[in-house]
Amino acid sequence: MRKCEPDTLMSERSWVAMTWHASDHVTGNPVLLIGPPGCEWERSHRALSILATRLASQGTSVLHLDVSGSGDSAGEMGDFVPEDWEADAMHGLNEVLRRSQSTQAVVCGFRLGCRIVMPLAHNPSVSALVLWEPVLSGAHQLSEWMDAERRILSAMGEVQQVSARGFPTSCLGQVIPDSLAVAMSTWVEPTSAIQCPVCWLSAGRAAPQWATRTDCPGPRFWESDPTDCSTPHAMIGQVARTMHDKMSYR
Amino acid sequence: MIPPERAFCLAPGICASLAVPNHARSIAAIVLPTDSLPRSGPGRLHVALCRRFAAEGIPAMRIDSANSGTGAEVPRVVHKNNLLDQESVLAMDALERTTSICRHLLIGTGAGAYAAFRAALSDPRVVGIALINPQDFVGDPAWSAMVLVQRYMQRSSRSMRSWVNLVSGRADYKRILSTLSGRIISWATGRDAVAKARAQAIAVSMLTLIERGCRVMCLVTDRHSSLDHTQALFGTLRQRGFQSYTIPGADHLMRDPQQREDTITRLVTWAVSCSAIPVQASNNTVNPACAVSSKQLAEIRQA
Repeated sequence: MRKCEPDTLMSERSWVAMTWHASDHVTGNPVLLIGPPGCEWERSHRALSILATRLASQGTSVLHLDVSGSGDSAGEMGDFVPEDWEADAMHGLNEVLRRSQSTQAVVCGFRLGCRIVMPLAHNPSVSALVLWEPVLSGAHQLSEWMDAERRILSAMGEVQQVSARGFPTSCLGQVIPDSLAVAMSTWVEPTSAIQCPVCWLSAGRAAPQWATRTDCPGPRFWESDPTDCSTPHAMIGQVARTMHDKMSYR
Repeated sequence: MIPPERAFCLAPGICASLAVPNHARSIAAIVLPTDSLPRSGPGRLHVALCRRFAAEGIPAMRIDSANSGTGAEVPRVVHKNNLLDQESVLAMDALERTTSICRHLLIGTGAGAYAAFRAALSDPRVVGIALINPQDFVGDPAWSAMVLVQRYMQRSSRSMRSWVNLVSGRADYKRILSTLSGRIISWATGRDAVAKARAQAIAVSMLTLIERGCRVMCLVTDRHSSLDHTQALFGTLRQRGFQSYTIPGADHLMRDPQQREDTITRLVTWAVSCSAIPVQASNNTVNPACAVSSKQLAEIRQA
């Protein structure tokens, strides 16, 4: 038996939306699940919701959080900077511990959500980190979004608009002000050693030394249609199984 | 910072967000889900829309569908229209319980537009529907082929870009060929007559709604096939109260922020004008093929 409970949570600068998937027969540490902000949120939300549902049905409570300016949370993406999203993740962790009355939690990020949760890796309350199709560099993410937008515009016979600094003014319907683009471009991959175990779930990208890689079946995220929001169930099932089998949180 | 929205479950697995204004008007809005997208809508259109409604004093709720967003995984064998009807009724009941407002505006994008239409036909609480890029209401391949061929003849043949795409290999040749062959087959087998009859029944139902006093507005982007479907289906109703607007230069994603802003402003203006509608007795003489019967409604409420 499981229940799904949407709610809001006060973060540093605004309120954020979350869904608590509670499990009655808890068998392990709860999970904090964070997806990417911006245009990728819409495409990944369903897959992450199904993942949360499956984990909850297997005995793991899950808190699925929308970071500021994405999904059902307050504001627009352009109103925030990456530090705000990291603060959201910290508040999400406190909330999942409070709701589950547990001392430790597993933190799972998807795409840019992986970069958002990275600062939590040094938190003693985090028992393990799961990074699904990780994007750990803000500059890399921006260039991927620009490429996707350029492909669509090119098919429509239009040209992409960029700011004086060369950043996109918008990507797939999301306005990206220069302040956010500059902040994201300075958001680099972490280089210091990670204390907790890290599971790296990716279709093709090699894992860094501090992570254990598990192959994730299916296409890479952006290799599918940029307006498609479906994720193969086989892939979600694999992620759910891996989280149960390989992570030491049970 | 805007005040937090209320989030709750309408039914197991169907989540909703409600933006409540400080001073409510006598009307409330429900934004229905779009296909497989979560309740935030395409490019968070529904989020922005609900918050603007609330800022104008209209309580606004947006919902997930049972098989989308945060919703549970419902087996595909469950008939889609039954799910849509059930969710619309659940949403109106919940909004009425929460706000005590019993006159609703339904707004839907894509498949949500069809759900809004069906709900308005069967529920007199609906005083207005806004259809954003409505999908094919007829649901007959013969009708789709007929509309697409009409598009090729009337719009694509006059567009320089379409000709460039056709000769430069960017056109979807497979789709063009299947449309043309489908049109010929349906004409030869007489299936297009059946499709036309179904389309006419839907147009009559729409007219019934308008005559009942339900405000109908349709917003279409001119790079989307919904423009052709709307023109073919409801073109003759324009002088009978069917308002239709085209958003120039926009595709279905409305990626240009200005296009989105224009769309939201138009919808909010329409909703505010609807709040002045006098309460009328409902006249449920609608096409039974489209409407949900009162028995079905009772079953949905019991479930």
